[in-house]
Amino acid sequence: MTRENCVTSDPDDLKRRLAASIERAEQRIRALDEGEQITSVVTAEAEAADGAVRATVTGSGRLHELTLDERVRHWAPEEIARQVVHCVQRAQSRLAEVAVESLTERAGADLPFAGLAAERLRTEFPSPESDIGAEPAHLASRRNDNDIVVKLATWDQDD
Amino acid sequence: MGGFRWDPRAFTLAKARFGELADQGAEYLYPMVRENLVEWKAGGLLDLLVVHHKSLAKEVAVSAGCTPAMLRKINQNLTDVAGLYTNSDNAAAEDISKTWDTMGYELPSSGDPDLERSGGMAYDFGSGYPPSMQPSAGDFRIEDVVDTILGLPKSVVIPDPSFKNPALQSIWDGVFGSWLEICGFATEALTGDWKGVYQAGDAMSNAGDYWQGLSALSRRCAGTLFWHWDGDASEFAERSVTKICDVYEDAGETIAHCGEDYKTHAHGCYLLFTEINGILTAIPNDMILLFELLDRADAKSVPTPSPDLLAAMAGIHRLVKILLKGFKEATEKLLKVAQVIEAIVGVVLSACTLFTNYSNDMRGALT
Repeated sequence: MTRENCVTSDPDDLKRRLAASIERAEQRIRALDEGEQITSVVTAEAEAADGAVRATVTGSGRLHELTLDERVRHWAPEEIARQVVHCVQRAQSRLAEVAVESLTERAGADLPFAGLAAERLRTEFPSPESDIGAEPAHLASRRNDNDIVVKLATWDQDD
Repeated sequence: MGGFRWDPRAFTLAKARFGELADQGAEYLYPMVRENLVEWKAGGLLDLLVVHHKSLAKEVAVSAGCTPAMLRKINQNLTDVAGLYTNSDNAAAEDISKTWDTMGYELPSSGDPDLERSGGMAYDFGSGYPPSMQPSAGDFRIEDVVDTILGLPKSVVIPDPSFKNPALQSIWDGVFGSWLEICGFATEALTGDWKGVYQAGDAMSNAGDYWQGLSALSRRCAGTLFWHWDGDASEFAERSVTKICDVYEDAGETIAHCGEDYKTHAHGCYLLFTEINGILTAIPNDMILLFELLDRADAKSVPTPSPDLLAAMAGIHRLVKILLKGFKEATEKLLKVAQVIEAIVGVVLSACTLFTNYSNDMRGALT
């Protein structure tokens, strides 16, 4: 479209549309910022063997905390390894759900990014094939002094 | 204010000089004002100004059209007065108000304008003419930068792809839609005769210089005339001619001030356009980069998950934010252009009120 053949619009209406567009862009930038913050701090927890094994993973899927209670002392090493792997996988598989919940609740906008984040987490951390353990829950309060807590890394900001 | 004095030779020479000034004014002032002020088409965001500009241009054009007519009216009055004195047995006793057209003024009933101070005893009625410059479009090329911005949507090829992953497609659609929106805004806002803003301002400055120059030259001519024409009767004419010189002076000052504001604001718009151009020119490259990142992510997201997807996501996220900030900044600058245009409106409104008075004063010469 050139200057010669463009139909002249109402300049006051144009001003209003410019202001609305700025507002929309600001909202989207804000949503992206919040989304970025949320996905970098999101964590998911899971437990296995009726709570004997509990794991917390960060947004990148890395294991952040592993708790083993008194009962595992009586398990064979293979069983401990199997339950730990399963528990971590459960926690990882919950990441997509937790991330989308956080993004849609707090950021509100820019669902494509929320969707993409969820998809990325789902594809990278699929659900474990067999369901050995119990349902995931918020577990920190159930921890007792005899539990073995392994903190595997400093806080991981993903990106 | 001593006795009566009338010099027919001074009348003849003054009329010749006023006639010269009127002829030159008729040839220059009105055509220059009409072409650059009245016929300016505005368009786009300039339409925020156009109604007020047209009102001012109309009043300035009336004043410009009446300017030589006023000088000719003085000459007509001088001819009538000369006829009255010539045919009178006692010229000193003649009341010139019978022949001197007041040109619609409410003249002051007392006070001596003392125009003689501007002239001299010799028959020197002045020479030369007021400046008669043609307006320029400024030493910056606003139309070039406007054309560059308006040509961007056509000159840049941005892919319009179809991604397999709906989330990636949605991200692309959002960014591409914003690009189309800012291109549309720019086209809508910048359509119009931007070069004409500075040119109209320069025409106003020129008209201002002309009127102020004409005031000085008319004062000089009239001053010499009134050295050779004295007495109670001439006071009437002197006050009338003084008023005309004052109107020229005031009109010149007002429109010159307005012209400077037009030119300053036109330059402000040029600077904003340069910034907008810089922002918009950088966007297509970022969009092509985004396309490549999305395309890579699209290939990796199906059918099997890829460990590189996280890195790609971070890049996409960052790039989308950069692009959104670019769109926002360009839109803000367009809004700023609107504010610059609206700032001229205030100047125009104030000049328009004054010019309504000037043109009313000058219209009297046409009756």
